[in-house]
Amino acid sequence: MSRRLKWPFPRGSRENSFPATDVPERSAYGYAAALAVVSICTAVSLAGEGVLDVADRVLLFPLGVLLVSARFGIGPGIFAAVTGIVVFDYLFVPPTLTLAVGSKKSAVTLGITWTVTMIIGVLTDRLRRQAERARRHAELERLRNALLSSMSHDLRGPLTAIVGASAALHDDHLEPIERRALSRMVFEEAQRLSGLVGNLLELTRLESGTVRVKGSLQAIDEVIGSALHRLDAKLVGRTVRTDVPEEIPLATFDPVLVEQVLVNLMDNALRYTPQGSPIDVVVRARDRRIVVEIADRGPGVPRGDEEKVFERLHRGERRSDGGVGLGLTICRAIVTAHEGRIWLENRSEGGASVKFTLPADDRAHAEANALARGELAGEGPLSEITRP
Amino acid sequence: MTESPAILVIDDEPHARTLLHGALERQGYRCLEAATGADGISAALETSPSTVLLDLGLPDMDGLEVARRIRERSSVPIIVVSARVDEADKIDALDGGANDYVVKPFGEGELLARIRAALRNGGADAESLDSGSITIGDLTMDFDLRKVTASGREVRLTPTEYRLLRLMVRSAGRVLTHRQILKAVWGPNFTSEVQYLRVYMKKLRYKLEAEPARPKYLINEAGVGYRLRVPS
Repeated sequence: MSRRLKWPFPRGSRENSFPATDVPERSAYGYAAALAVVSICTAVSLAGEGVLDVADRVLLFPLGVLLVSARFGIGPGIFAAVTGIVVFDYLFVPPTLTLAVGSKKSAVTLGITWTVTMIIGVLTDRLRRQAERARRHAELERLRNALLSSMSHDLRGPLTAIVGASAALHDDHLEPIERRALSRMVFEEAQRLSGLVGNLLELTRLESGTVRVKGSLQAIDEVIGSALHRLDAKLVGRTVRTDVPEEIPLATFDPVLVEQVLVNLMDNALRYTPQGSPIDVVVRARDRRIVVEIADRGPGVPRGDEEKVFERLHRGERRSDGGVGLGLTICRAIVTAHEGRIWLENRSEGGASVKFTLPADDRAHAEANALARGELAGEGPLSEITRP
Repeated sequence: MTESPAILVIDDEPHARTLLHGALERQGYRCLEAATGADGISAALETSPSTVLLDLGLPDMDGLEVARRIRERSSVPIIVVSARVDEADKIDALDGGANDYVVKPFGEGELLARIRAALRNGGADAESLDSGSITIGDLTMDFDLRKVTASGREVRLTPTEYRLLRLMVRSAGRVLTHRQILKAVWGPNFTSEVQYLRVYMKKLRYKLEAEPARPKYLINEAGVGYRLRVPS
């Protein structure tokens, strides 16, 4: 498994960097519309018999194809062109009411019309895509600017504090208590800055497209362990309860990215909940997936915001320290790239719980376990390891 | 009285050197400094420091190259201290001869713990230790009786689990890459069978650790390898 992360931010002009939205050309709706347009062209042609020249009537069809291609893309466009030409041949090309073409002249007309119609279809579709791309690009550019301005604001905060506090430390007449307070401020703000820069770098790494999901067989308890280890300093004074049964199967995922998800989720839990309140990390196996849950005893999220918290730049109201709401967006991008799902629930007993799923690998787990059991059965001297 | 151990710092940033210098001297180490890769290599080979702290982003050559060149002629412990966070960089550094890896920005306490581990493992005797017993925190490994106890209770290990734990204990405090562990425990043909290693590490954690998903000893270094942490 090695897939590129679908990142919801613009990544230059590469076409596939855009989020997959509802691509209209594949919808059945487009084909139905193509049929409708061809029917209308046919109806007008029939109604115009005697009033309109055959040449005029034949031109109605390329016009219809143009409309279909412009709105629904190349598939329905070609579909309209083909049905249009068949209908036209059947109704208007002598001998009428057959698909036969009577004269060489008619065949040439029909051929040219069909070719022109196809070209029109293709060109229109290309134009349509360009317009669509430009529109999305403009929107993403706007988002990126919002993100950048928000980021630079967040970076300036701690920097200003560090510059100010360290300049004040030059004063020789400071009381020891003031000196301690200032140096503490420098330290804390620097830590905050370090966290922000870490997030930014992570973003850049994800955004640059160099990050690929490098899935391999992993033990989730191990990755939870290293995430908790990374957060050691922040976890002082907190109770973290882990509940990961040994029989949880191995799962296929990218350990570095999933560790990032866990760190972001726990970091969030720490940020939004009162000092000293417990955090639970629970893993369960369910339907060939493992479900990882990070639950806190904080205030939860306002009703209706459960989905919004995963959106770019969303930030909880209670947030007092720095940081744009990128953490959960990064989480969602990573979990989605693993074909997993991530969601937030308010706990009935109070607090928020974020859960995400990862694909479990029961077969590989069973194999590896059998290997270990086999060794156990044959235990004796320090024999060389046997392997199937 | 024996001379205090000398630590060589190879880093082009004067501020970084000043900070490390202060921290090291406070702990009673002598601090030697080099600002370029070339100076660092010659200092490492000529002044025989006890440990080398090596930054990877040097102006004149790649830090990994510096590590390789030092390793060609000396077995001095090398701890890479770098802002590069990519696992591939870490693995390259560790497989290329570095003994450990600390990511900038780091806590002073963490770095000093790594230096202590490096100094402890510096002697080659620890690597081949096969008699007597070692106690790390509440883990005890008795090589003569081939017995392992955790918090006073005996733990039954399979032969492979035992060899795996023995390797980790011998290298206590420093990170070993998956490849290094697989090669040492399973043999050179198994260096890519990381899933075996994962299963055995998991079994060891569930046998030895009080809270396996939050281990005290067998620490996972995501994407890189494992470290047996020595509680300070």
